[in-house]
Amino acid sequence: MTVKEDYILNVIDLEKHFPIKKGVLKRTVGLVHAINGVSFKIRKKESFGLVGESGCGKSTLGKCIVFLYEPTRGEIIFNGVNLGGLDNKKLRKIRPQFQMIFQDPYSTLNPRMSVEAMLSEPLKLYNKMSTNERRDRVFELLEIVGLRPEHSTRYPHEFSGGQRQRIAVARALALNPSLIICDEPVSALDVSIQAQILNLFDKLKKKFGLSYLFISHDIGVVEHVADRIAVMYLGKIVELAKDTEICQNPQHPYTKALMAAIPIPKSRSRDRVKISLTGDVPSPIDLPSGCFFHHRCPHAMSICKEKAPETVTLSDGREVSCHLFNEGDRV
Amino acid sequence: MTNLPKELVKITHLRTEFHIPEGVVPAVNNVNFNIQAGETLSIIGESGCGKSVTALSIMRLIPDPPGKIVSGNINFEGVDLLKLPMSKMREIRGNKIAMIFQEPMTSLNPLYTVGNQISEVYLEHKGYNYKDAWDNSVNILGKVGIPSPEERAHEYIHEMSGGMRQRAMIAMALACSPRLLIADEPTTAVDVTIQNQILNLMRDLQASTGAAILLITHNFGVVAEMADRVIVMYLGHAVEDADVDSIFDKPLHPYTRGLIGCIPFPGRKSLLGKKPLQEIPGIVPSMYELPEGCVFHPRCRWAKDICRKQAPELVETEKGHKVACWKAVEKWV
Repeated sequence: MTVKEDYILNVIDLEKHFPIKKGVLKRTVGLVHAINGVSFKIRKKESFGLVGESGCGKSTLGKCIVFLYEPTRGEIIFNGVNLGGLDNKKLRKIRPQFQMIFQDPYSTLNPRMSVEAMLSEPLKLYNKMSTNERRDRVFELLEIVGLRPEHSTRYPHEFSGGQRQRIAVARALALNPSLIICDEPVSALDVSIQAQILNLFDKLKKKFGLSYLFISHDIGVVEHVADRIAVMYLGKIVELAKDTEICQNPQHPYTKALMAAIPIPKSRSRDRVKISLTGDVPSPIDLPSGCFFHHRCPHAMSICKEKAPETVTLSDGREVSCHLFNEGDRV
Repeated sequence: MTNLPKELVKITHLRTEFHIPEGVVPAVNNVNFNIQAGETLSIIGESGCGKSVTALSIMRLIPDPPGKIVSGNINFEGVDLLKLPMSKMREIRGNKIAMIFQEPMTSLNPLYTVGNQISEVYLEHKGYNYKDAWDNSVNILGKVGIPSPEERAHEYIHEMSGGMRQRAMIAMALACSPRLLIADEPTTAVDVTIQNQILNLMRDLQASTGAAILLITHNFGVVAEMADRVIVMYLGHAVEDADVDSIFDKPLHPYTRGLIGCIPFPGRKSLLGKKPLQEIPGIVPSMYELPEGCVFHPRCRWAKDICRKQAPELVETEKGHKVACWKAVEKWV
């Protein structure tokens, strides 16, 4: 039997490369290195935040974890079960336990299905319920996410963006998952609606003891939801620490620059001193040598060009991948 | 802005409507504001509040039909833009008033090189010969921080990264040293580190050219870092108009307050602890069925009878601070 695990998800050295195919014969001419060795663990009932700029591989990572993409290398252990070792049938059995919510509620809801049809589909597939039980469950789900029973007969186009995202949340909750992967769930929403949905996420987490993997480019949003935050750059985690530590006391030069770049909605923000990053994120097709960040890093040393830094744990428990730090350094 | 400020743009009673089969949408509804020379004025609001339509009205780029500027004046350097014939308007666009858009991929022409497109501005407005126009284009590309501009000028926009494209568009807008630069969500499509570069660039260029900037955004962080003055819009109405520090330190309109309270910004947790975000209840109503009275009253927790019946005017309650709200005007507690 499996030992009692404290972690709901354990990602070990995950890599995902996409081949670039060209020509009549569709020969592989190169690889997009979307994820380059990512390891982290999510505790039970924890919200784990993942931030990074576009193209850093955060969405690919989310899709790999639910096996929408098969990872190139590495292991994903969910609740003590190695997902890579499962055949399709067994994978289907375990899928209800982890669900995903996507960014755009306009494209993830089937326009030709009523809300009731959409919410009862997973129930039909996985549960043996009578029609009445199913309907009750649909009403219950709608109530949980703050919609009304009469909404069940409507179609997605009749809802606003925020309401659609609520439907997507209800669908994810239908089978009582223990882990929900949220990929930019509020990025398409206006701030006043975003606040409603974020508060809903908080409420659901408390109510059902959920774990979240919360992916977003907006650090403010991630800080609000997450207990711990990992910062990704070019398919690697460069820093992983407690929520407030990442925002108030970042250590990795990239995290520092990222935090400094975020405009803070407060008075007298104009006078803030800023570190500006120069240049763009390099292409994940031709990865830089050594540390991926070295050519934009204000502290780059000669070793950074040659050798990729190891991940070290600092005195406060945070993990950093940077040559400036040694194992156990005081923060 | 040290001495008496000079009004570059004065907009009074602007009303822009869209006539569509479903009804009449008053996208901009009796909006009044001024922009001083050299100032950065920011219009902020959620999607559909009329901020972009305001900008397009100034440029007279409202598609007609279905859109129409029904009433009002847009006074720019003493001339009412709404009375100008289109040929005269064309002389002003891209010359004295320039605009940058959110998505450079759709607002630059994919079939021309960047240098070609910028040269066109010089050919059209300055009457330069082609060689001078090209040299000037290369020069301005360098000014906005594009490395090796001689080679980059020969590139098409699909060959550039998002940040570079936005720079190219800014270069094009600045080609004729405009007096007013309208930036409609200039950094919404780029990442924060690139956003930081673009905002710094706009600030530097403003310092050197003295242009006024009308910055349209939904991001309060960007407003805080860029704006001198802020106008908050809701459903086509300007609901608050104040300097940037007052907006954040003592917002008067319940909508402004709600908006500021519902933003999760980095550092909020250390500042306030893990508290739920403030919510503005309900959703933005449809433009076809605007609420009577104050348009915000269905979502406002202070709403009284008067709010449901009579729309408040934008009035100055403190020096330089205007608000359209009965609560603020009549000082309800």
